[in-house]
Amino acid sequence: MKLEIKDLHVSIGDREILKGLTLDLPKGEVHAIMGPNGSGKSTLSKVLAGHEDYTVTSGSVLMDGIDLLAMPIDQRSRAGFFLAFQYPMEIPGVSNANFLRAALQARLPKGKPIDAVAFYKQLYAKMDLLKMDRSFTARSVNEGFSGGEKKRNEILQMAMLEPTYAVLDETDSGLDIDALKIVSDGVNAMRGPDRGILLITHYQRLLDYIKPDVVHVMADGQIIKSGGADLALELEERGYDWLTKAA
Amino acid sequence: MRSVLLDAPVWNHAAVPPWFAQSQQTAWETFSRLPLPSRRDEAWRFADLKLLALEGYADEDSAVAAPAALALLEQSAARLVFRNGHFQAAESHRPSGIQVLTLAEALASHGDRLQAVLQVPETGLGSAKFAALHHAHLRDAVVIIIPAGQEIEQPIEIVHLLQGPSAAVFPRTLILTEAKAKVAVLEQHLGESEGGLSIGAAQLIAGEGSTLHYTLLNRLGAGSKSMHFSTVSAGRDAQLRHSLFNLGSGWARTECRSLLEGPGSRSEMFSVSLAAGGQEIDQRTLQDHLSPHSYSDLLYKNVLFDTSRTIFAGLIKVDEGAHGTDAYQKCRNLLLSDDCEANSMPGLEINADQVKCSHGSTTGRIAEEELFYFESRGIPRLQATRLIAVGFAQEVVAKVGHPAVEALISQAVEARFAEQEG
Ligand SMILES: Nc1ncnc2c1ncn2[C@@H]1O[C@H](COP(=O)(O)OP(=O)(O)OP(=O)(O)O)[C@@H](O)[C@H]1O
Ligand SMILES: [Mg+2]
Repeated sequence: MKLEIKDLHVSIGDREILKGLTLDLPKGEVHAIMGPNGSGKSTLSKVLAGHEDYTVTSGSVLMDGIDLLAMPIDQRSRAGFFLAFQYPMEIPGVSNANFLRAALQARLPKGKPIDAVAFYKQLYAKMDLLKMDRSFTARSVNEGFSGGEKKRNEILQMAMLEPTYAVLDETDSGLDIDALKIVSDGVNAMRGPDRGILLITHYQRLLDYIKPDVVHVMADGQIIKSGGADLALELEERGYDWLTKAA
Repeated sequence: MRSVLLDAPVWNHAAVPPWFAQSQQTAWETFSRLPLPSRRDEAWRFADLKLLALEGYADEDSAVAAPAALALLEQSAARLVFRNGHFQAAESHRPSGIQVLTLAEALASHGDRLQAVLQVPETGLGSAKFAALHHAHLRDAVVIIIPAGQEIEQPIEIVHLLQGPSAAVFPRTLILTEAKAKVAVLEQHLGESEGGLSIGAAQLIAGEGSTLHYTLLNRLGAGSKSMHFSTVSAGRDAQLRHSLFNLGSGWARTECRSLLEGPGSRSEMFSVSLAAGGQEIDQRTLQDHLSPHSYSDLLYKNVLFDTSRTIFAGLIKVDEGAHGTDAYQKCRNLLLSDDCEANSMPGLEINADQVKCSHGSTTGRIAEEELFYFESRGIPRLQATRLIAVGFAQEVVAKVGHPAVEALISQAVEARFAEQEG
């Protein structure tokens, strides 16, 4: 059981951004992707989520053997895929609680109403875990949230939706030292044999808190090297030059 | 069948003061004399005048169906229910301490006082002909008089039910608040069948330092036509709030003229309209500042589906001598289809100094990125659209100011959007 990305080519307009990317994320593992700005990390994450700006020209993505790319965006989410965005959207007028409720409701059979009491119980428990104030339930989704609060809110959504495969795009960027610890604890709490997690990050520090099984280096739309957790340390020390030049 | 347009109303004027009988007689003559609006009429710009064909509505008692379940406030200070214009005492309650009167009662007990106001409710915004028609056909009305200093805690509720495809109703509400009095009124227009015609009017007269909140919810059937005229006048330091929720009627025209007559007076005008199918919702407003240091705020929001159309024409007028005026006007349109059309004509006319005014209108669609965010959480596009649109509307609902009224409106909004989703 895995998220299996095979020789993926993706363009925006005429420009090819992912140039034959291959990566396996087995269930139960945590992988990290590191790589220079503009190498295509967010592009990969958004293609997996189904963003329409990107055209997949060739390659495949299978989620537990099912063709992820063939599914509409909302169905991918309900089938167990989750993306924590690098830049989460602000949705004025829709409260955080209503948003999450709608997302969970969409996972129930048609006509079956969500159990409101159980929903709030679960929501509050997850918020406590992420040390989020209760007032965030009534506030509009991400509207006026600080950068760090938005990131925390993405992890709250992940905790509520309990995906099988989650991609976290620079969730650590913008988090203060305490928040990084809290969010990492939240992610670690979700680690387990039934879930695969892909962390996109620029900083080794995140990987001190969330220990990855595999680290991949991405450059110019491809994975150019994979290794153990130690690879991140080496990158921290030596940068990307030695790899991109070799490649 | 007696047509509301062609046949003079049959009045029972035996028990009314002569001035009132005369006012109805004159109103009918005025209606018959005034021409229909024409294409060249600025007050009807953008309006589809074909929709003004009001033939086929009957001026007679239609069969009144058995009471259906109504969405009512759980607690109200008083409730008056009308079916096809007929007062339903059994479904109403009016405690003794509050003056909530029918037309006959009001004319009998307050005739002299009401002579100046129980006339054709003219807004000056284009529908003089139809305001006259409304007055001519008046059989009953709700007259609420809140004496000085009385504060009514719970809202007063008025319900008008329109039953039968050719029925016509002419709901009329007159609310007078004396000095420092306080009241909130919720009026609902409900349709139990597709068609029908409603031409209604509300007159809100707020005395010195009083607070008057009026909310009108239109949930008439999709095949019905409705017009509603409001004249609002705020005395010294009075606070008036006029909120409209247009969730029904195939064609609706509302006119609201707010006069800031007393220094320090405040007037708020809010509206949410949901237009769908081939619906047209046409709203015209005037914020007229006659006194210094008065404040007015207007927020009208339209949500448009399908091939629907909305029209908003609003004017802020600051008269000479109304210095220190604060006046705001905003119309916001949310377009949910490629074939709908929102027309906005905000306007300003300032003849005084030291005024703060702003007006504007925005028209937009839901951003693709916003929908993508919802979908990426598993929420189908249609539901995402509804959540965003409901949120857009809720901003106005939250301004109504009375939790129970807000809850009722909120449910109506949700239900209306859910219907739209099918
Ligand atoms: N919608 C778009 N339109 C045009 N170009 C785009 C678009 N999205 C991404 N790109 C381009 O694709 C390339 C890869 O962008 P992407 O956001 O995937 O990089 P990244 O690896 O996530 O970078 P960072 O580390 O800075 O977040 C960049 O050159 C970017 O400018
Ligand atoms: Mg990125």
